[in-house]
Amino acid sequence: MKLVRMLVLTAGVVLAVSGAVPLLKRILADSKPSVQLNVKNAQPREVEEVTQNAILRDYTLAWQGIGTALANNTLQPLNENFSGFALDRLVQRVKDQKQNGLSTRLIDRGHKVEAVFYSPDGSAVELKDTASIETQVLDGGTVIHSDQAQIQYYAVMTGAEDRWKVRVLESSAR
Amino acid sequence: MRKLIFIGLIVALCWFAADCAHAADLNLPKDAVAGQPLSIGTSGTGTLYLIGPGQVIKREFKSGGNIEIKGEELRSAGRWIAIARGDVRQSQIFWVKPGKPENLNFLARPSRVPVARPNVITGVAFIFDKYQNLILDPTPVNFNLAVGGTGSSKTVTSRDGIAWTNSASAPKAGAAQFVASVGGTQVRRVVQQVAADPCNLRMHVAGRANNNVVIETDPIRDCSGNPVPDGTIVSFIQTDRSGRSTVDSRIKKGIARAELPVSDNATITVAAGVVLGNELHVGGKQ
Amino acid sequence: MGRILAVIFAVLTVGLIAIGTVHGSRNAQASTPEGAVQAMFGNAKGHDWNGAYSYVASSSNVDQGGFIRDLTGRNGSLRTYSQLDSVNTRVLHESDTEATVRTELKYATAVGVSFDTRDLKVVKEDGAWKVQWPAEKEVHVPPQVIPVNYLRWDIVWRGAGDDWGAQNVENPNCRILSMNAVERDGGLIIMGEVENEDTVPAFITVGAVLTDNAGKDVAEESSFDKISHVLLPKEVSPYRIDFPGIKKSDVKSVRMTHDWMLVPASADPVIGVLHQRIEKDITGRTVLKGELLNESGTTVNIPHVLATFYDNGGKVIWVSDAYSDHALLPQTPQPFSVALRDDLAANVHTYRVTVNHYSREN
Repeated sequence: MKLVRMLVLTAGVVLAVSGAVPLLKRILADSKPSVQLNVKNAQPREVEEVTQNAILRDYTLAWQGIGTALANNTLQPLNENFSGFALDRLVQRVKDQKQNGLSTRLIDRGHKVEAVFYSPDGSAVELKDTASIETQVLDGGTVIHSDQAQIQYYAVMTGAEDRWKVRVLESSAR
Repeated sequence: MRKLIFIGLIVALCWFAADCAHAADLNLPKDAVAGQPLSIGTSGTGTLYLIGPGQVIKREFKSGGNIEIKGEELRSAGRWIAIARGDVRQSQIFWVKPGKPENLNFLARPSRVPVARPNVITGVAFIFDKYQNLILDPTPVNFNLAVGGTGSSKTVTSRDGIAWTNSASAPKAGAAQFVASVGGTQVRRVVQQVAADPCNLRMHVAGRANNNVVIETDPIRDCSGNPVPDGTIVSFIQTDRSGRSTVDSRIKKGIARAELPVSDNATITVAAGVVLGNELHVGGKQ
Repeated sequence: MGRILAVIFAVLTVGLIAIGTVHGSRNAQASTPEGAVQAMFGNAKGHDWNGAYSYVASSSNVDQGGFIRDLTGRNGSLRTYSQLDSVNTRVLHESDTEATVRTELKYATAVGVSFDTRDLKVVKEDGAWKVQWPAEKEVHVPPQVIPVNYLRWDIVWRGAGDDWGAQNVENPNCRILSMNAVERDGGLIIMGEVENEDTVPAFITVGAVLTDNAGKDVAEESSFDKISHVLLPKEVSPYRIDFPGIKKSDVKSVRMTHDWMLVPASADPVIGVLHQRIEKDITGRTVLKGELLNESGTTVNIPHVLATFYDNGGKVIWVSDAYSDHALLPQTPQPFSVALRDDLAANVHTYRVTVNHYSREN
């Protein structure tokens, strides 16, 4: 009798955990990543405080958008936060993923971002981002690849109508 | 107990050996370049996914042959994931570098600037390869700014994909050609250099018409001798016993003209913006 | 019984018609000069032009069409977009046969309330008071060709297909030349001048944000129509921003805000401002008067006059404006008048008048 009780309890716990883990991962994927921005070394122009806040907000949203778009194979989060080459590239990636039945789950563990260039006219900024990201590639519901790494990204953001958008996003082995 | 430990160690060793053997199943080159062909060695049968920053490439492979990826297929530089599914199941990370410089995005600011001002023209060049990958390695970029055949040239080495320069505007008004070039690629922008504030603004009485006195300026130029553009406002102010009369005239063909009421004793002044010109006394004592 | 009823109904009908006639008529003879003026404008307000014209003295030498045009405006002027709102009258002088009635007309217009004060002469004709209407002289511009070859600035903006680096046409460089904050009538007023320093036309807006002693933004306003929004190269405009009900002592700092935009524009028309002088109007208020002369070949429907007043140090001490309710016909002088605060009149050393123009598209 005691054994049966234990079995039922164990089964219950397993069920709860199996339900909670994907949910937690989904919540983590949709939540805003933590981004620290340092603008002290920006050249040749100093980044104004208002611009700094806007870049921090919009770069954070951009990464949240990448996470959502690659996990769900949707384009909307990309259109809001990206433009130009970066948008073309990510849109193609989402389309290709969808076509091949794949998706990518990014578990974002934070970004240390440094503004390295701010154009004299204030229209473009280049960021160097050291990102801690766990990447899981899923085929249907099955994880077929998982890795965790610190990745160096270079991003160029340009001013759009009401926000800064990522125009170039490139990872580098440097 | 000893037996159990031994079996465990054997299992762990086999596992490790199998893992090493599998890792060797995908042979990825270490110096892949965007836009250049890529050959990947495989073993067994299965499907290979190459997941890059801006694309996913899928290939079926059989009997361990090499997989050839064409240059035009490998477009995105950055971090790629190669995943093999089939007889062997494994994945690897590999990096693709940008190709050689073939595209420039050149931001020249401003598009219009007064003449003879220091450090007012800036040029920022973003260097890309054929597939719009930002080239992060230092690359020399040449900036050339010329108006009417004379100008200056400067070579700047890029840092993190960007090269920038600033320059003074020339003393001569006109459309300056601002060219950024890298390798065989060049991008041209036009910076309109316009006359600065009027200098030595002078007027004279040009005659009478319709019971008015006609006042006309000499040709209006800036301090470098460039003609101030047509359409610029020039204010004529006449003060006499009946009050003040003002006409905000526009420069036409280099001069400004106004008709003011005839007066037996009036003082006329002229101004363009905050620049004042000479003063005239008409009627009575000249 | 039937006959009695018929008689009763007939009498009732006649009685009602009589009552209706008596109450409905606004054209009863005026027994006082003030009554004549009130009755004339009362009918005009109700668009009863026959009724209104019946109070016009025959000696006025104005036909009904001219009288109506005087009241409703001509040539697409501001008066054509106005509605007579109220009439205040006061008899200045009265004898047995004639009187002078000061009449303050209040119009509701597209740009706010407009006042028109006139001293009307009222005369007795055939036992009734009638208004001697000062007919406006209708100006007819003689047929002629006026060559206009001023610049026009058109703009080609960056297209959607242009690459990211391609520069757009630059917005103009403008500069706020001066700013002066004063307290008047229990409110704070920020005024000064702004210049387009560039070689292209600019559409400008100037505003101000007030910060209190705690560093908090307490009010934000723009100069709205106390500014020339379109400035040609090197043109200078005054601006005035009103903050009613805010005291200068409650404000720690003023943050000026502005927006300069490149816009297509024409260098035409040129409007001369002639014979400007400061004097008193018929009500005794200080005004800046003069004449506007449209030197171009097209009608300016609504002229808007902006006057900047400076003290002897060249500081802007007041900015006032007025819309003229008469259109500016080509080559035809038109009087204007802009109010100046009586308390400032003594401090005014010099002044400058600029004219905004609004023209109906042909």
